[in-house]
Amino acid sequence: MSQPLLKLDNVTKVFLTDEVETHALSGIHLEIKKGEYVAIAGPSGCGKSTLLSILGLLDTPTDGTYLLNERLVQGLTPAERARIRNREIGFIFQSFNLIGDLSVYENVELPLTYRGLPAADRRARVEEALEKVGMAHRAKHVPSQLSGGQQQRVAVARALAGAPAVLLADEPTGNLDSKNGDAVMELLQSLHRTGSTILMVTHDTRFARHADRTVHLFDGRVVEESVENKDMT
Amino acid sequence: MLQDARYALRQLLKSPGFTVVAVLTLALGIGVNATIFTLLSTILFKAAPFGHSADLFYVYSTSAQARRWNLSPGDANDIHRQNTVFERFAIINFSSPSLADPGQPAERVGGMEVSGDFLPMLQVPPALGRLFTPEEDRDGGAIVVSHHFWLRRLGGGPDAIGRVLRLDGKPVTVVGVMPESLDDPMTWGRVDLWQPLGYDAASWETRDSEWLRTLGRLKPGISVPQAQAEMDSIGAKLARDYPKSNAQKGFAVVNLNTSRIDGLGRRMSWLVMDLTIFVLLIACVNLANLQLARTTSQRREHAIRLALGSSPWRLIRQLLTESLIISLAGGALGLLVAHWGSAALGRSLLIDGSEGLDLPVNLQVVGFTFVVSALTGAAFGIVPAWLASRTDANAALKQGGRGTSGDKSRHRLRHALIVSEIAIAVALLAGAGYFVRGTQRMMERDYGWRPENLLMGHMVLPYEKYADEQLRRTFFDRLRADLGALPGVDRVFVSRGHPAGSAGDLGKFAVEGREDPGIGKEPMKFETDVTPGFFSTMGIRLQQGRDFSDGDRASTRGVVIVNETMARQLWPGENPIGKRIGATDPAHRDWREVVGVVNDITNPISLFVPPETRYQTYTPIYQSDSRWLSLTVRSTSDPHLLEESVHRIVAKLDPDLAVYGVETVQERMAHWMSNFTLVSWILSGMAALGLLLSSVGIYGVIANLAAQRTQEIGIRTALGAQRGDVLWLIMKNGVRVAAIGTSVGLALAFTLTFILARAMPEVPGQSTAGTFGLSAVIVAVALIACWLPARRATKVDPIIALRGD
Repeated sequence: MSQPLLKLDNVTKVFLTDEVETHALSGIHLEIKKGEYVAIAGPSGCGKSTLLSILGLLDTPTDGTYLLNERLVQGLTPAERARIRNREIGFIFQSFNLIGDLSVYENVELPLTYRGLPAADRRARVEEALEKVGMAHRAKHVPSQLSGGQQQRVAVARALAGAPAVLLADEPTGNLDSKNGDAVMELLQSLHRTGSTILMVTHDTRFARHADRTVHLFDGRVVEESVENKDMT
Repeated sequence: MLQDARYALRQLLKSPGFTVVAVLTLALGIGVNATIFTLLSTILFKAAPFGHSADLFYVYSTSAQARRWNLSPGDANDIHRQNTVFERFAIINFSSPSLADPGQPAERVGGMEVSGDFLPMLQVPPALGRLFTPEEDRDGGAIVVSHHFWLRRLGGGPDAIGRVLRLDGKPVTVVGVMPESLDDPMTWGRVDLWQPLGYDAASWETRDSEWLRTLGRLKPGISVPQAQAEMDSIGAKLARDYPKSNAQKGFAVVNLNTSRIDGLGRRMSWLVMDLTIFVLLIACVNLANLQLARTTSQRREHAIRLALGSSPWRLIRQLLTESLIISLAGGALGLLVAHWGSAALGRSLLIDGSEGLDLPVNLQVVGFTFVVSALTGAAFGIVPAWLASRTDANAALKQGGRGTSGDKSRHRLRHALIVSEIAIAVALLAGAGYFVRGTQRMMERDYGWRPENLLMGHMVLPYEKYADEQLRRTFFDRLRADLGALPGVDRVFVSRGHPAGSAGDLGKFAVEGREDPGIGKEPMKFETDVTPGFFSTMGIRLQQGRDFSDGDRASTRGVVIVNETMARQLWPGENPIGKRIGATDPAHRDWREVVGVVNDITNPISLFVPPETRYQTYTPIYQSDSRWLSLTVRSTSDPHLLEESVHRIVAKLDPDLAVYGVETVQERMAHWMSNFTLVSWILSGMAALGLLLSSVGIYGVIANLAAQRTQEIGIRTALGAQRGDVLWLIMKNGVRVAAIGTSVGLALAFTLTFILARAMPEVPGQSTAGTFGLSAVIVAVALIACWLPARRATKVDPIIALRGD
């Protein structure tokens, strides 16, 4: 049996504000295998985003262990965490988070620049990623010249360009209308079909059904895991 | 308008941090400008405190050797009698009589010996008593005193009129007190009293010696060219009548008000004012940047106003009102800064050797401050207001106030402002550095003599009392002997002229065996009369020949010691010892033999005159009729300890004789240089202020831009940007603007120093390396100002930054 790509063991996250302890996550056990498409669902404030931040190495757990590709990652230095984020993780945000002053091409190229890849290599990867999401013809535009759906496709291209081990998508359809939302979900689905590991946070059960498995969170705990029957969809 | 003002006040109160920083920045910028304007308005623009002073003119003599020189009594008297352009014409001799009351130590006072027209010509009635009668004009025996002398020495009461004082050993009666308005050191220095000139008929015939000043009031309807034409005509007539003394001489009419400050002082004042404007410009750029940041953050509000129907002009008016309120508040505080600054500046200034000049913050200064404040408000407010009026209401409302790529033009403008701020700061530093370093180099140079451990004082031997050469010699010998016997005294000398003061009198001379160069073309030399011991006491090196001895007396062969420049230029390749120089009058050559050569020296009073361009002679004091004397002792310990003994010994030798200005030579030099030192301090302070304001400006802009990029930094961090990547992301903006600003600034700085070098050739100025060095300071400060917000940006928590979306 293959080792999980991501493994959380008894992960807890506690926030301290004004001497008040808030348990955002409590005793989370989660394993995600390579090539899996997992949705994390739950109501607002249940800890979905906190979990995604820990998985994306933007935050550290208060307790418990986190293994990424069999490597313990919670004790790493900020520089090592940044390096792993850059190479192993691709982020897709709800509000796209493209940089307004950079062109589509430059936005997609940005993580590759941080990786220190040569220009030719970067060009090839950026073009391939833009082709994959159908945005190659908009490479020279700036984000403000694109629709929301197009901006999110560029964000997906940016996440894909570095060929990460896992794509972390935080409510990727939250800022889109239903038509564009469906298109983005279709894009993720196609990426999954080509072998990408995807972990998507959503509060919309309609979109959670696209995943192989849905982890339900409530009050910072995993309360249920369901496996989707693809034949029924 | 009132509504705009009310709203602007409310907005400013809502942002107390911005308001306080803006008002304080302007208070400093405007305050410094108002302070320097106070100085300028007093020393450059303020008229002399006399009635219709614009009609008062000096008449100077001119020649090939001097552009403005004193007049001989003969010339002064002829101009007085022959001119038809002056309704009143006065002749002046600056004096320094010794004032002594029975039982009190003698005191040296500043006096003016004036002819009858002088005081009436000023059109200022006396505060007490009267002016001179024609009899007093002729016979003397009366004085009119100044207001400050009346208060200080005569008790300030009406009983001062009629008081009898002893002036140079002779009784004089106080007949009048002039009003306080005449206590103006800018015109003639500190004047304690006026006394009649009282020259006899023989004195008015003198033409070969020039020590008098003349002042005339133009008749109504007479223009300056008409007055000058008449002076030219009189000059030509006198040249024909007295070719021996007047062949190459002319006369120049110069307005009294424009003569109150010399050329270098005038240029220095303008330099300070110009550089002060640079400080205000930097303050303006800072505030423009702050306003831009504010209008960017208020973009949504402006969009709402425009959407609700406000015209762009209405928005501009409202934002300009805000800027004007800030600038007027800054101006009001600036007046306080000016009040303190000008008081401190007035106390520190040295006018005619004495400290203190009243620099009032008057209506003129208040008016200047108001105009500058209004212009400043418009200058820093107009561009942000105009940009705000061009807000795309639709886009701004859609974006919810967040600026993205649409703010690029504002970013570019803010960067351009920082570039100009750095450029101005570089130019300011270079301009200040030019003068400061130049003055420093002049002060630090080798003077050719040693100023340490020397105590000096001055005295004037009354003419009648010391007319006899034997009496003078006895006085000098006893003075030297008594001072030399004091414990702690190493050496003593008496001189007319002193290296720490003036280089001595300037006089024409002839060289034996040389062809007469013609009247008015004779070489000139500075003449100092000294007792033996002068050179060794002052540390001046005898390079050739011998020093003076007690054997060099009036009855022995006339001798002279010359400086090396004179020896080298007059007798190149020859031995100067044994050569002779003398008077220009062929009938009375009075030859003196060169017995020694000493090194060139520099006098602090003529700091900017290269010593190697000046002929200097030293003659034994016993072979001249010297009355205005300096005495100097070299102490083996602290020279201050000898002050009391010096006064005591002189009083013992002659109770009517006052020793004045007793101080160490180093204090004397510092005194002479104090105005240069003061200007250097002012310029250094302004450069520091400019540097501080520009660094605060750079910091503010970079910090603000970094804050606007918080979300971007969060995205980049999430995508794997390292700390160094974020640091450079923010720093590179600063580095770029610092590099461009410094380059532009260097071009400005070199242009400015080029102009300064031509405007003030006396000041040696700053080297190119120095200018680059100062630029490096700006670059370093700019980088630190960028590094601080950049460092903070690396600590942005990406989760918070992304959540902030």
